[in-house]
Amino acid sequence: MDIRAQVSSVFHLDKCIGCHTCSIACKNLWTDRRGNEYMWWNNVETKPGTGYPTQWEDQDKYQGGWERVGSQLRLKQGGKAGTLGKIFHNPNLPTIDDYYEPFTYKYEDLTNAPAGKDQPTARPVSMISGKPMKIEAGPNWDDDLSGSNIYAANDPGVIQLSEEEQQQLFAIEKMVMFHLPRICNHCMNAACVASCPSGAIYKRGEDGIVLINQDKCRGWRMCVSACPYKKTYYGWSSGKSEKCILCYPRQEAGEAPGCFHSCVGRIRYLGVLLYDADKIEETAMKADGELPAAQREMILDPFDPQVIAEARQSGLADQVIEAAQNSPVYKFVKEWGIALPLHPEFRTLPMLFYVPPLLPVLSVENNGTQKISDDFFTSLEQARLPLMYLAGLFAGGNQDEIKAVYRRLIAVRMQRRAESVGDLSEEELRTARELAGLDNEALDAIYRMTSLTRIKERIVIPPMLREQAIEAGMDPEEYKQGMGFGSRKAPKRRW
Amino acid sequence: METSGWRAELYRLTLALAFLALVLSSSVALAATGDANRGEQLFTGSQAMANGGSPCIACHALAGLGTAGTASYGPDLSGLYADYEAEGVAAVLESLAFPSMEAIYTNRPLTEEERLDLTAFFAQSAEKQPPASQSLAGLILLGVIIVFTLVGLSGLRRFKGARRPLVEQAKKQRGVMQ
Repeated sequence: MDIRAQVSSVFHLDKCIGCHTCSIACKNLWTDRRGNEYMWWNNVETKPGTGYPTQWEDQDKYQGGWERVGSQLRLKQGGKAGTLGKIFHNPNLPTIDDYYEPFTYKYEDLTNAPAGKDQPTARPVSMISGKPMKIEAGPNWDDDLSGSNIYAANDPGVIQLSEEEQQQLFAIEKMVMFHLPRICNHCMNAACVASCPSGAIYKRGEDGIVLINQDKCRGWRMCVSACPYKKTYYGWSSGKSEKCILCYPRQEAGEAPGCFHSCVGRIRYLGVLLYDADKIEETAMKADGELPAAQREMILDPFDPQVIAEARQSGLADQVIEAAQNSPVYKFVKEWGIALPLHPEFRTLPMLFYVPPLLPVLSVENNGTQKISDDFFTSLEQARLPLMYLAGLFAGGNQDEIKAVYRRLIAVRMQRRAESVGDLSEEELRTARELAGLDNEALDAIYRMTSLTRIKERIVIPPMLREQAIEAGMDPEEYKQGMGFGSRKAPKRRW
Repeated sequence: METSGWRAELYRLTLALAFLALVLSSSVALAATGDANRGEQLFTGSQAMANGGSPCIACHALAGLGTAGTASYGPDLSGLYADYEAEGVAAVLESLAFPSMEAIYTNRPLTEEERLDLTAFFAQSAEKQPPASQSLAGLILLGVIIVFTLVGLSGLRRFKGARRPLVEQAKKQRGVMQ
């Protein structure tokens, strides 16, 4: 076994209110620079919807992620020779229109305009050309527009549904939507790392954060097309590609990443997972529907004495193993089994997991008034979002995975209802618990973790042990005095 | 005395004639023995001019040297020998009195040996009458056209955008409904 530690996250979608505070926090911290206006390392999408960039999930269009070729795993955009052949002419890049043309407003016109009959206005101007423009798209253009016949109707996940399911989804009284916040998944089998012709992208050994070395990057943009989540972006002023760095400088100082810290709904959980790196290839080769389970299989129990011994042998520090034991992500993914990876069928083994939304309260017509459905808490089959849709998002099409998660979430809700309202029989509760496969204690723990915990329990940052990493290369005292803020080099070209 | 005077006169005359014959014959012999191979090397630049002048091939075309010998800055020299013969060529090589060549060769004149070698090479080249070579500029143009066509064709596979077609499709559908 080759045990490694990975800082991973869980986003609880039932708690996301789609306020975009995370996106703004990230924008202000990292991408508020010239040439980077269009990039959102963190963005929040409305589902059903086409997302950002438009229809990013459709890999027939964008050619991102991996595919199985015989008994081998290959980048969908092509192997090494294919990449070399396209090196000056990558045909799979999203256009700026698919992201959106970044804009601002001429705010100074509001105060500087000469006196006149009309109220001065702030016209929108392009941040690319500086010229007045008509705004036609934005990073969250289809925000809350679940009925849009352009955006929602063309969601790649909706298109694969049956006609009947689509009608159910868009029936006016059953219209439904939820929010999907997205950052880089810091995948175990990252396609961006594999695609880089310059070898500039790497996965940090100590915490699994995927980074682009800005000194090595030559702006070929193979990572932009290879990442199926479209989470690497080309910086037009720096000439380098950039991506979410999981705020590693903040984490090294013991702070939560910006988007986690600012999250209003407290939907974000962060913690260390231990996994067996020897199993990566074997896992990524599994059939679509088996991928979520296979990925769970790779994640190891940090309480198992044998795992602890192996982890020490692989060079993990005791503090990291301890952090893994306190990790809320381990509980969500492994112990309770209520968090699933986004689009596991891209085969990058993403390490950001989502608790699928147990959606909205189903309402029924009752003499013209809307009433909450009687059997809402027990009926899974009447879910407003087709299970197939969620299975397409979180389980590679395997509906059983979604059902299992929902049974557990329903059991939690029933237990809380019995506790606070007291109108459910012990018989009903026992059935729900048996279906969920969780005992009362676990249900209570899920409830506590979902609604009552404070930031230190939700976000368990492992000690980054930078001093150890530095010690391996140079005297820490010398590093402290000599390195300052590191180096800033102008982008270099070979020609 | 008298006899000796006449003899001496004859001797001097003979000596002068012999000298003249020697000079004439030697210059004829040199013209004939100019080395065409060395001339070719000087023309193509594989051997440097003694005074540092540029090789002819840099500006002039000459049939028989392949695509490399198709420079078009100066006139094509393929017909030079046929038009001017050895004397004309030698005269031209001596002064090189053309505005664009003066700048190069006034301070770096060709040596007599070089002129003879080049003349011999021109003579040899005129004798062979090789066919004109494909022009380098034409070949480059052809290559450029091929490369651009290939790039253009590969551009047809390029991703053309996802959002715009969706919007247009929706507009079209609305148009049908109205």
